[in-house]
Amino acid sequence: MRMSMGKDNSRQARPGVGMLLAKMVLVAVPAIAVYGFPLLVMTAGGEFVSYRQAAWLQRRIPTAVLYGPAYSDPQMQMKCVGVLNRHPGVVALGSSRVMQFRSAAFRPEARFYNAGGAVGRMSDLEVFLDRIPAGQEPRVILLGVDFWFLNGRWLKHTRTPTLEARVDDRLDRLELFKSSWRTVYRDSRAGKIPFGRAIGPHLSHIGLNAVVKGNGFRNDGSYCHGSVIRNAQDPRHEDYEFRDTLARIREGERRFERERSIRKKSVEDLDTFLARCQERGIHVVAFLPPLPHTIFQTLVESGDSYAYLWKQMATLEPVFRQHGYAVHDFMDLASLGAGDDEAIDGLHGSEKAYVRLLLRLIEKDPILAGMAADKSWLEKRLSAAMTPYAVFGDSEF
Amino acid sequence: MLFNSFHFLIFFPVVTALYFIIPHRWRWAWLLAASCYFYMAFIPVYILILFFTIAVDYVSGIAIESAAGRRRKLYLGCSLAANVGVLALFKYFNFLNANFAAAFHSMGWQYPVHDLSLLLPIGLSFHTFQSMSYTIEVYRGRHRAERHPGILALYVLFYPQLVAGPIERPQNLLDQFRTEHFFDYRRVADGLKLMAWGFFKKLVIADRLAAVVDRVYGDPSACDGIALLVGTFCFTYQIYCDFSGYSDIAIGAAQVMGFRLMNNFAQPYFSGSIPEFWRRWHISLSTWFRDYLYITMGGNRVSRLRWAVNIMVVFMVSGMWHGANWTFFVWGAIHGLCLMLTPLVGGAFGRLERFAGMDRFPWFGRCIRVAVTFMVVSFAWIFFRADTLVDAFYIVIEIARSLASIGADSLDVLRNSVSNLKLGAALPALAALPVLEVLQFMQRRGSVRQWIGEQPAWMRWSAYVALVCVIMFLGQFGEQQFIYFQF
Repeated sequence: MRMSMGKDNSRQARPGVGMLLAKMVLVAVPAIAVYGFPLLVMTAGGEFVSYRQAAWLQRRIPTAVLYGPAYSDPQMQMKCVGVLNRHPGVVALGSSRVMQFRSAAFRPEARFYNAGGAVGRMSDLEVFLDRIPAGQEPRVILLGVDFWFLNGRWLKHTRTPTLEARVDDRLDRLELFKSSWRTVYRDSRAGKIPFGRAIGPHLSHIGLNAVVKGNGFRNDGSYCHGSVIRNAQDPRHEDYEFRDTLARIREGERRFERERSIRKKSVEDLDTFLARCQERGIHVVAFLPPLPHTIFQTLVESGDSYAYLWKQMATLEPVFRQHGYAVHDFMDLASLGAGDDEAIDGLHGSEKAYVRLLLRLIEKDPILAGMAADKSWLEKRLSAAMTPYAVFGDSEF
Repeated sequence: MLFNSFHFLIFFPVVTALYFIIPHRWRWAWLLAASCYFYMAFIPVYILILFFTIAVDYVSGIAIESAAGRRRKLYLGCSLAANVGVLALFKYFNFLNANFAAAFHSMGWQYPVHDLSLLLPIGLSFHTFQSMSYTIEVYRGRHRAERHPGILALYVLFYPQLVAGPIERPQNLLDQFRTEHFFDYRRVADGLKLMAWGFFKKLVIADRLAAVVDRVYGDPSACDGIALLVGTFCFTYQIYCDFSGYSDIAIGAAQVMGFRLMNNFAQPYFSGSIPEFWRRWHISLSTWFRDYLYITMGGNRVSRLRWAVNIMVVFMVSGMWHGANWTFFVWGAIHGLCLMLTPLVGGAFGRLERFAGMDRFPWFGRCIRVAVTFMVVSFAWIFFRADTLVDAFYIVIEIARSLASIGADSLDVLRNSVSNLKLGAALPALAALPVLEVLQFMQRRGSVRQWIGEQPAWMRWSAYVALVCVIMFLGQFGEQQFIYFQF
């Protein structure tokens, strides 16, 4: 294979292609070396494992597999894929504030799947439902209605993507690396990624969040709040004793935007969703997820600033009733008989609090009761819980 | 395909390597195929538009050369009509349609013509003008008609300059496709260095400044005058680094293969007047308009009034070449007006210099001229970048208001405005600007690449490694499109 070097070139001692390539490699070596570290960490940490691959593993492998990517956020897509693959009988649907429901709290034949995180706003509900083919509907949807879903001011400013925008996203590994490699260095410098742990063997943990912090989605779609729970007890953590959540309320930001009235369009979206569920024979059990009593009380004391919160039930109950469903108010964690120690942060109750919540729902809803585990067994597990955070073990799914 | 994409990172070395390996008689075909692939990475079917104009120009060129008298003009007219027609259809139809509709509606009449849903083919304005320069030069007898359709097609489709120039002339480019190019280490290395410099300007400076500019110009009413001023300053450098960066990559990529493209920028922000600016900015376009429109209209060999008309027409057309929006028209008109006023203003400034005794320090006068020209050019960029004339005038008024109200608290106002702009991501770009300007200044006296090449090995290698590292670590690799792609 002869390149057009010209007759003279080959005879003279002039640098050629080989020299050029060698010099280009040498010039690029420092840069390539710098890319090498984050590439190694991200590869070894499972960041390049797609949510589809993770969902497949979680379904096929009989042991617990925790999926917690640190540099991507595929939860919306992943939950939709999970529902499509598993044809669950009971689906928990909502934001991160339903992720605490575990399959261990339901009968095996219920085929429970936690699709928490699939929706980020009211308009996502119908999009989620549309993804489920006819004939594969769940029997029950356990729906968490977050207060900010009804807040027009939050919707105006939020950067939370819509389900429609994200649902068909695929993992673009090159794009992920390009957008994350600097963050890997920053996180490493901050001690967030111990190198040995990141690249060590961790077959049951995929993604650096799972590997390093023990945070991630379990096989049943519920969320394991590994480090989140540890942080709740750490005075250095930003939401220790809910100080960050209280700051949000003071500033009126990040889900605590001040609002007097409920957004009409959100209620219409909910109504449409419930009508579609009714048409498709899906039973919906809805609730207002709990806030720690301290937070709840602060909101009460804010007077008119959050007037829309106290209009929720009056607005939502007729909408649910119209379709033969019910919505239950558990906004105050204390109403479940739980203390603030059963909150993992200012917005989220713990798994233990949600077992209490489930027990209340079982009392009120016979259809759900038929899908959940035996009530007395749940109560026994609740009283046997060693910590305020967990009732079931990680391998129970 | 964008230069700043992973796709191009694979495409370029493969095309270049095979170019040198393939026997010379087949290289045109290889480059043509590669260029078609390059273009079809955008919207594949639009290659048919180029094939159409190439076919028309091929036939027209031969016909012009063979014909005599008025027939030559007829064939030229056909070629120009085909090219301008394609440009008008894809680029200006909806704009003209919207204006006619507005006019009709304002008179209470119905307007039945609907807009066309056509995406603008990438680089349309560039390759159309390059095509037209071919048939015009054949008509003027300055270049023979190209008998090889593949070579003519390659002249139009040559991928380094296909989508954003430089707009070449047949005398410069066509014959190069017949010349056998050999691998030459120095030439190839120099081409790669030029490409690296282009990537630096595009990825480290332009794309980082883009975030600030988009934020400000995306919602001007949400910004105060200082923020608008900062945004405008950022755009002044964004467009320069984006466009000249593209040109450097294009020229460098062509040079690697042995092709010499014309220089498109010559440190334009060091210009001391608007005429000088246009001798240094987008040189291939300004010379195109000079040679094919301005001189055809009589140039400056006409009455003063006619000359002024010529200037305004050329610049307004040049403005509209950039985009189908009245903002570009006004941008062009501003430059035309400045060009017309330059003899007056220049003369007055010269008298002022002599009166103040500043003519003893010509460098000082030059600095003033450069600063004033920079401000005028930046002012005009407001209209270039703004989405609407309303936005543009709003920005101008707000900036003027802020500057007029400079007072004791200006530093606080400046601090607040700047902090609201969230300049964090743009800081590396802003820090790189002095480096850019120093190198530009040095470039005026001689090739900086050559100067670096003459330095000791440790210094050369440090510079090259530093450049690559800066690109890789500070470059924005979000595949932001080049600004001039939309033209």
